[in-house]
Amino acid sequence: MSSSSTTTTTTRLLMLKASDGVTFEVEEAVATKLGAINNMVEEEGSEDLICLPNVNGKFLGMVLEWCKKHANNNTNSDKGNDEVNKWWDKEFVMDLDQNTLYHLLMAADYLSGTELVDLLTEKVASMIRGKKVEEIRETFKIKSDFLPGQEEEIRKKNSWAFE
Amino acid sequence: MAHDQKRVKLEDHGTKEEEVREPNTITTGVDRFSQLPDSIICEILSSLPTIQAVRTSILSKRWRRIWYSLPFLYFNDSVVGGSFDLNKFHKFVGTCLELRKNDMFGATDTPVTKFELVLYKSKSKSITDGWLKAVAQSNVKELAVQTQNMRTHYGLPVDVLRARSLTVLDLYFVRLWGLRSISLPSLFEPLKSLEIYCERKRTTFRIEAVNLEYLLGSGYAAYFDFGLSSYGALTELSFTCSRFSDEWLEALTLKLPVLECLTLTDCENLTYWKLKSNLKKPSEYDMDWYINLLKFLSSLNCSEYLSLDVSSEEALIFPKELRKVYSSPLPNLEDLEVRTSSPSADNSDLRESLMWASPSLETLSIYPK
Repeated sequence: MSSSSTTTTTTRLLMLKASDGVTFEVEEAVATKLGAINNMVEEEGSEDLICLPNVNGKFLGMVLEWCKKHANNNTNSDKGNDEVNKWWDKEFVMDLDQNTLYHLLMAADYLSGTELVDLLTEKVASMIRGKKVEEIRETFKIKSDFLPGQEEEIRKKNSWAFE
Repeated sequence: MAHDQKRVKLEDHGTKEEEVREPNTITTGVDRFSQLPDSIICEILSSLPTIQAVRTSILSKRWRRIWYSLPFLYFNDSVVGGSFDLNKFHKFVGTCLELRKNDMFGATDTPVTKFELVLYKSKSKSITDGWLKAVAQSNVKELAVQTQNMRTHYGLPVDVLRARSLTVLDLYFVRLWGLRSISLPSLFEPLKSLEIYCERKRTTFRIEAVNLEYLLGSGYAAYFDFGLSSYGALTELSFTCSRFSDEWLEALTLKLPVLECLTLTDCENLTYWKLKSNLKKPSEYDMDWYINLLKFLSSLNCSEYLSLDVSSEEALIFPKELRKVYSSPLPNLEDLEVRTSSPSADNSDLRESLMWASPSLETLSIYPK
């Protein structure tokens, strides 16, 4: 490269199309935070429109919002940015309802956004940590479908775990 | 396409919300958690103590057997819940290991790859030994053992260190018995990262880890025999609160040809040390060279005395345009010595550059090599 290269580097834009037809125009560096999109870009090269039939626009938007934050902050490898990212991540997952959390997890998993999957699984884990079985059922609205007496039987049989 | 009504730019927070309808607006009372695929549930449960994961098996039929797929077993005797009963804890760990035995040998589709044991209350050496020996004979790749404090140090059996499948070993307050100058190539050869705390002067422990890239030592690190010839791949070395001599560190760094990063924190015995950089002399000294040198010198600003060895004076003559943009890299340096292979009769440019680089300088000496 010549030393007189311009400071404004042109960043390539990608179009991502969600299952409901909503499209997002995103910088390549943001979208490739997602492993699946990174693979598509590397394999297909010049393809600019990427269809994502398994992700709804609302959640794709949220995933990309996360990617954008992390792609921007990664350009500076400052220690301080780690803190900013952590704080931002905390805010990001703080008030997610379970439905949104579920769809985000599914989207992040489908798009191979490993770091985002880690963040979201940790959020779910924090909702389980230290809770009793009854409390977990209550939190996640899980209905026991064991036959009457079956649960008690399992508990007895596996008393090593429930004592 | 450009006029597609639904098109949303990521920056447009305003339009996004209005135009995208939520696919499922009835959310209360829906059990989303159970609908997640097994792989994600396993990931969620893997960050919890295994006892908690096992207890999810009575949530519903969906959860009955999920814990059998967890790749990570984690036992912590202080998060058992309820009043702690040593026998129950031992029984729990033993039963889990028995039930996942085939998985630990990698003989099934759901292999156990990591085993972590945190013991704050349990002090039975024979029982712990039994668990860890079972792990060592299996195909588990990562093993982490932590005991509470120095007094209750657990002595790790040597058999565990001979495990063939381990690639990561994390030990906290764990004593290594009978390991005076023993080399353990089977364990340490694949090891890429190692953190070691040496508590006492008596321990001399030698490891051969030819592929090690990162090493963190703390405590009496100097009593650790690093098997110096075997660290050719080490790029990052870190010492914290370590006690060792100047000579020891110098000898160590000389044997690390590809070391890129050396971090020293609270190493109080250190007063002087010599660093040899194998930075290749470029075909010409360009801006990149000088900028890299500036960064390097800035990291040495805590020194009062500095000696630099260079093949050409030019390497240290910072370009004037650079001096306008950057601040001096060594504002605190008082004493600087420069040795060069090709001393010139008139070194006023060199002197001027060095005075810019270290404005507090009291003595500057320039010698031929």
